[in-house]
Amino acid sequence: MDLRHAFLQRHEEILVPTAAKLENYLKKVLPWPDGINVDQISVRAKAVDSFTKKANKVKDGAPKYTDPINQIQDQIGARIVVFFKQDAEAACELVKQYFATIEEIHYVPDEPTAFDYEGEHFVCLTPDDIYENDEEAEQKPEFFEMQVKTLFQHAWSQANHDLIYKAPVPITNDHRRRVAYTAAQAWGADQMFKELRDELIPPTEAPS
Amino acid sequence: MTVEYAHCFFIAPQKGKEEPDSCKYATIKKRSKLYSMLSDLFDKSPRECRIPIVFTSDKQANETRTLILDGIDGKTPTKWLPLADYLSSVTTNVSGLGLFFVIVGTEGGKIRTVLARFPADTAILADTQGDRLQVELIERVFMKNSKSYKAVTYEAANPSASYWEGLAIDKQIHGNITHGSNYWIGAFLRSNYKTDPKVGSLRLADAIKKATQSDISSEARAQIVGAQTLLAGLDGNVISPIEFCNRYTLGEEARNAVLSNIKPEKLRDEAFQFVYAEYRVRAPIRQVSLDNGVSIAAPSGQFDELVDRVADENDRQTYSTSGVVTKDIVRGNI
Repeated sequence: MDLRHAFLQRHEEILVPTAAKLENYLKKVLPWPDGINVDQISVRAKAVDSFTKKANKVKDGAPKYTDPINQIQDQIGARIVVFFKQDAEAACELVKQYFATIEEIHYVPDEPTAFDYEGEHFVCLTPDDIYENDEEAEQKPEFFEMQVKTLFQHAWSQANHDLIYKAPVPITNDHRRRVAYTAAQAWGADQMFKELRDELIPPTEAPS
Repeated sequence: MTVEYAHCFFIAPQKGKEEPDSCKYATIKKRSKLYSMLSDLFDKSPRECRIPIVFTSDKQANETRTLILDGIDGKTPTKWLPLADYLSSVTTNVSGLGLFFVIVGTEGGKIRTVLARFPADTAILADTQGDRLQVELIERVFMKNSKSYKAVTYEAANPSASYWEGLAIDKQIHGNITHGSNYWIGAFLRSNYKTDPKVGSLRLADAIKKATQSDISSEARAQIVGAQTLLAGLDGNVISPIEFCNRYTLGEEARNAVLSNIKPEKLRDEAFQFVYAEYRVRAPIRQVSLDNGVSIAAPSGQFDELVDRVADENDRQTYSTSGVVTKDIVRGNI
């Protein structure tokens, strides 16, 4: 069985059901303090095409992944979208308290003068609690990726991904500059709402 | 699963030593009694090691994990020596001398690695020769039954992609987290309990809530409710749901009611550090409802202190309490 078919089977039999269970679990287990505004919590299995493309990546002339099924850690992706940057900070603290994480990446542009993708990404161990029995738990994907973003970060990343990342034609510098402009606007909106929230609403205590 | 090789390292306490000595080591001969004992330990490790742990990391890098992977790749004792030297470097005189075993085996495409530390002890050797009894004190005896025995097991088809989770045993962990447990799991393995204290505590709280709300006898319900009022005393202790049931001697019905609400089944014996504050968040209220439609509710850990109860000869209950009214509302169904 080739990799694509192996993953397709895994996708249908394990990943999609696990994503649904994990979404229910996420919505139940995280105790959002008063004042934290959560827009959405969603979990989905990685698309077959997306997995196959990633599995076939080459690095320095050699396959990046020698064992993609076991090495690719974002076969399930969870996303928490919140209103404000303060909420994102609180959400990240909750993720670290309630999930075993092996990686945390704070994505910001490489240069302070640049505007691009921003968000918090975690690689977490899939919790056993989402399964009904030991047999199901044995087959679980070991990891899932958790992203925490504000509404503006999420909106920008979705639009950018669908339009620019998947663009059918080569992207010019002018395209890149205009995309950076939209990222700057999303960043600016987040900053303004952060300041307004601090001025208008008393700070929420960070989860202890 | 077949053991492929086993190495042994002599661990001297060298924490804080400026120029620590490298550990002395030996490969265990395959036909020896010791190899046979280690094979037995290796086979039993997934059952005996029941504390799930995970390497600490925020950038998918953990130095102890890296040393283990280097050892698996290299196989020889010299390739495992850096791990043993590291163990020696975090060993204090409190933990003392130890023998550290590395046992690696494969089966069905999976590689299992068991690391075990036997602490040094003293023993008395007794030998009878004819009518005479000879006794001798022997130092540097290393025993698995010692209360300080520690081990961990990792198993995966692809260690470099997996081997983030392990199962540990630490016979010093009984109750509160101790120096010993911080030494093996924290300092040496650079790991934490996989089950976050809050997650384990909420898991137990949910199971207790569901059990008390299920269709069980009043006696079983009383046992569970009574046990949970004592949970404040377990704050900070390492327990599992099964140990909760054992500690408070729940009867079979009560025990089944609690444990059947812990899924999957393997979580029933999974140890975690209990956090009472989290339990109170998840199971804050105990409520007693009477056949006359009255319900009395109070904080679950304080119900018996706040509410007096008197039963008559017909088992009719009279509940009473006193205080200043802070809320008097009309609400939906209780």
